[in-house]
Amino acid sequence: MDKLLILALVLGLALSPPVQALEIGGQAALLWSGSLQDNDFDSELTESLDLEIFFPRVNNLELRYGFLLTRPLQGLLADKEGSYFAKKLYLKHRSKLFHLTVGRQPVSWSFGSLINPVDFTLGAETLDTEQQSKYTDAVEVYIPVNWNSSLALVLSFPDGFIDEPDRMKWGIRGRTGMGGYDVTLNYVHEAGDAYPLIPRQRLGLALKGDVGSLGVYGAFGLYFDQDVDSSRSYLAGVDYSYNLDYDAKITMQLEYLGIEPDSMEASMRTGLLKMDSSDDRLDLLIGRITYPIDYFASLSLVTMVSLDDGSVIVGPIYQNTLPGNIDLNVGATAFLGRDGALFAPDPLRAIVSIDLSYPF
Amino acid sequence: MKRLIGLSVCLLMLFHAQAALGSGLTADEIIKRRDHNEYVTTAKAESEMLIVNVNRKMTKTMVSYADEDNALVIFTNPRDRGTKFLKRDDDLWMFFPDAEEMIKISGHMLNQGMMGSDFSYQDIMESDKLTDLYDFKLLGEEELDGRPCYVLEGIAAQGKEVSYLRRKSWVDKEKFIGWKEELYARSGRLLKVMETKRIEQIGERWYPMEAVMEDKLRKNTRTEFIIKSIEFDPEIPAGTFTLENLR
Repeated sequence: MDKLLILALVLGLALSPPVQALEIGGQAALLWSGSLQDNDFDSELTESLDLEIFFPRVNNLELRYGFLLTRPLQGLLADKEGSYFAKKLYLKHRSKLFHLTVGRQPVSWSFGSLINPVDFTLGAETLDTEQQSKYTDAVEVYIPVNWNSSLALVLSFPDGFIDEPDRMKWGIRGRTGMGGYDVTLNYVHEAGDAYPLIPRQRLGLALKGDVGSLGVYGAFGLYFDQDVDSSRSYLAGVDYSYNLDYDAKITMQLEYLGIEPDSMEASMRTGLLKMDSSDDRLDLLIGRITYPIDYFASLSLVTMVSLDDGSVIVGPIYQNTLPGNIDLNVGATAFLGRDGALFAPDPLRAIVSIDLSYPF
Repeated sequence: MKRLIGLSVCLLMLFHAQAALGSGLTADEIIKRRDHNEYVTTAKAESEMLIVNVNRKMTKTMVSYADEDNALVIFTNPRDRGTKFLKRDDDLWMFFPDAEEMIKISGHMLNQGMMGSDFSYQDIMESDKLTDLYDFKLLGEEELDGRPCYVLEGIAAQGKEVSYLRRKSWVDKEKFIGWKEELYARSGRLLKVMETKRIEQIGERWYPMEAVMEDKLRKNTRTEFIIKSIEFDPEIPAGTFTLENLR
């Protein structure tokens, strides 16, 4: 009954015409994905509804609410377990001195890299893709200094709003423009039990700008804690556009990521990162190249290479906006490497996915 | 003498010229008459962009603000709702609405088609006067769809970074509006053709309200650009062109 009510509410909101400045928008998607593990191939079909309600701003106050429903139809019709995830539910107050945001909100410190080792929430992220871990219950204070400089303070609650200091995560980020470069410096203190295997504190520096016709960026991270050795991460990247016959522009992005896992526990080094005792740094080369087939379609290739053992992740992606404003994404990921290598096909060999989505 | 930045600007930018001909007007005078019509100090516009490829169409709508050196474009269509671009001098910033994060866009992206259209970021947000970027000369006079026009050619000024090395313009002799623009590559190859489809008299000035850009290297494609409304010299709040306002 609850599911029916939720679905009725969602459909009612989605199909109703906008009233005054209130708007509803989002995306309905159908995803088929399959994975090859050893010699077994498993696949599943998932539908999802991503909705956001755009409330009109009242004076300096802004309310945002957005959520993701996964398998709402299968939940109703096939008794499969669906899920609801609130991506945004926050209240923002804007004044000349600061912006205060309270509630579930995305906290992203991206700066254009394929992987950001100094983000508020660690994890690989390609721009404009969503990661649920970016959405967190938090209080953010944003203090503008001048047109391109600011200070942001974030206090987040990974386990929900619980008044226990050890279960809070906090960070501060300064951002400014220097000589045409976007420069950020940040500090993050993890909650007590968030990542027991890695240091709880880190400092991050990131910059992005241009050198001639090259876009360049880089980052440096220092991870430290009491009673553990500190470790570092290094990121250096470039992006470039190559003009094919004045018409189609191939865009390329290549970055090197080095991670010293000195401070990580041995189980993480040998288990997850598959490092032996002689390794002192994990070296990755990540690249993306995109060719625009026409206005509506493009072909991309994303690769990640472990420079230490030569293993590779390869991911071609085809995107097309079909008639009817439906987006088609076809992607595949293959793992290549010898036994014991970082990206060895063991046991997962490949993933394929076909995604149809309709923004409204 | 400043030129509107924002999507409406691409219309303005593509119709500059200077020359002199039998009517007695010098090239500078022609340009000044055009500037009187098409060049604005500050503006706010609501626009629509229709991207057409054979039988497929995609519509993007936007609100844009511009002053002398800066521009802010906010997309309002469902697919791109909340996506924003801020141009400050030579810097371009983009706001991603899902992550609610601002990224500085690399300079080489300025020549890419904006949001998949035939208009590059440079076309859309370039704030320099075309007369500062090109040296123009008069080629002659022609009738274009029954309208007497000056035909002018602009060559990129030495040391200037421009998207198109050469441009050829048809400027209305009576209303001093550009009706057609041909855009050429360094090799001399014709890249794009832009034609004004509708103009409107707003106050004392004539202004291009609808235009079509065709990419001549692709078959059966075009981008239509329509200004739904435009307000000249509006009061733009302080802080409009800041990262604080972008988020």
